[in-house]
Amino acid sequence: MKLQPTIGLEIHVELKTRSKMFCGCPAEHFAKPANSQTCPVCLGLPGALPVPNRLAIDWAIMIGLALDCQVNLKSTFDRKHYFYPDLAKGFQITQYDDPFSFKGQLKLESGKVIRITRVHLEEDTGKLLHKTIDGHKLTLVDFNRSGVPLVEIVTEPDISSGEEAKEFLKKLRDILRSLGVSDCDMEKGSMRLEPNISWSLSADKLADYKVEIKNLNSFRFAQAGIDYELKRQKALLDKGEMPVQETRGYQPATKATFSQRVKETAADYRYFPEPDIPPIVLTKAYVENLRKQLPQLPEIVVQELVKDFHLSLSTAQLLVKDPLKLAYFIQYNRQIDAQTLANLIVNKKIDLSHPPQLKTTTETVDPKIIDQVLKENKDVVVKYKAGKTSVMGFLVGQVMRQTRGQVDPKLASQELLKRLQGPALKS
Amino acid sequence: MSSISPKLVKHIAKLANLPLSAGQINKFSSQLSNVLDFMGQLSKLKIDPKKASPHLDLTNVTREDKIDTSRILTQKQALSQARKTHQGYFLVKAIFS
Repeated sequence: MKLQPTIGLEIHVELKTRSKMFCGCPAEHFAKPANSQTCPVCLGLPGALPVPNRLAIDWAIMIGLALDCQVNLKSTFDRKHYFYPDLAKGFQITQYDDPFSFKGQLKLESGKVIRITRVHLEEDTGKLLHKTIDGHKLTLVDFNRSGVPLVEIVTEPDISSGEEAKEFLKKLRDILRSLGVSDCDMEKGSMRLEPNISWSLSADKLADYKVEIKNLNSFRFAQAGIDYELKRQKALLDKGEMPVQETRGYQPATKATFSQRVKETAADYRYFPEPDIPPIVLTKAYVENLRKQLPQLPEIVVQELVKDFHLSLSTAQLLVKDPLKLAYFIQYNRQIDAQTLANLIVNKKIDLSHPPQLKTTTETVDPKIIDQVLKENKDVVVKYKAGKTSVMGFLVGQVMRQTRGQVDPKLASQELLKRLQGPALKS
Repeated sequence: MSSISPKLVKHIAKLANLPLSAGQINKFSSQLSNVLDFMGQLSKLKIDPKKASPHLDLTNVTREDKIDTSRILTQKQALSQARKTHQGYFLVKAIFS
């Protein structure tokens, strides 16, 4: 049998709750003075008692539901032990045996299904900075990030190329943003990607090795890193050599991966139940209530925008990508022609913090445009004359469109009225 | 009779981040074996495994998503027990050399 590219993804997403996962310290840590947002719990001081953030739990479950997962009605937290300076306690509180959800799926455009293994909740670690100070190589540690709620999403190794991985990741990011649970800002590290890659017989018959890539902070790098890694491994396999199981870094400048000397061995993490946190037990009704709170999935919203407002696919996709833009469009599309409004939003020609105020550079409306609109929409004019005055909005929209939004909609409406109530149109 | 080999002791010591001498490894190898044998007596008891739980009867102990400023430490307090610090950071030996 032939070997094929076999890629699984691990994605970490920081939730944008106000407070941390197990304590009341602020979760927002970007650009804050180092070690200014810690307490005995997130510093791992002896005797501190972690208490889970209810909203973080709800959001983790909602992510699972949006990815078509089954929800565990009884979930537990576990301790995962390892020694690393970013982990003050010597263990990380995470979920091992009973994650909040498992066995989901996400469909690609091609119809191909990528299975989701699990979605679980854990705490983020401190942040490490590697520096040379006075000729000594040192590591600086900032625990502001320690304890920020982190959701880990794990896929089955169903992905077969860098391009598929990129599509999956974009779809996932759009879903997470539409849920409003994470910024998914890769530059700030609120979304982190770790593909693991091998050439295997199939997703169920994996190779004896896999290579994980770390430090990928864009979808483009993920795609390039995966493709590079597939080529590198294939070359070794073709020579009859087995690639080494290892963690590799990615260097954007060379578009290549490189072996990282990572010290953890094939980890004996000594997981055991977190004794300080009693199990989370949910009723079916509770889970169903969370399901009701799910917004429509981005794909479906895109389809509806195309169908209901005749937006182009790319414009609809751009709107859906940003919840603020989408909300603005939905709020104001009755006041201005939908396509004009969508274009203004997508091209950033409109201030989202105010209702749309179109530049009215023209004080009058070119009568030719009014004529043209009325001629092109005779059926609508008939409806208007039959008493269906609500179609006026549509006609105004058409004028706005012809003038690229350069006239005051009120003025356009007045002009149209004059013509419609005046002598009949010459045809 | 359990047997914790010196090799296993070495592995456990590594995971626990403990530097052990060769003499200590041999000593702990027999000591840990004895400890396991002693604890092994528990397996002779009849215990309902379904009742084993680290959590007693509590469930769903959670908190609201609210910032609690009363417990936040100042940077100075947070760093007060650190062996070495640098400009507000904890300082440790380089992880990557």
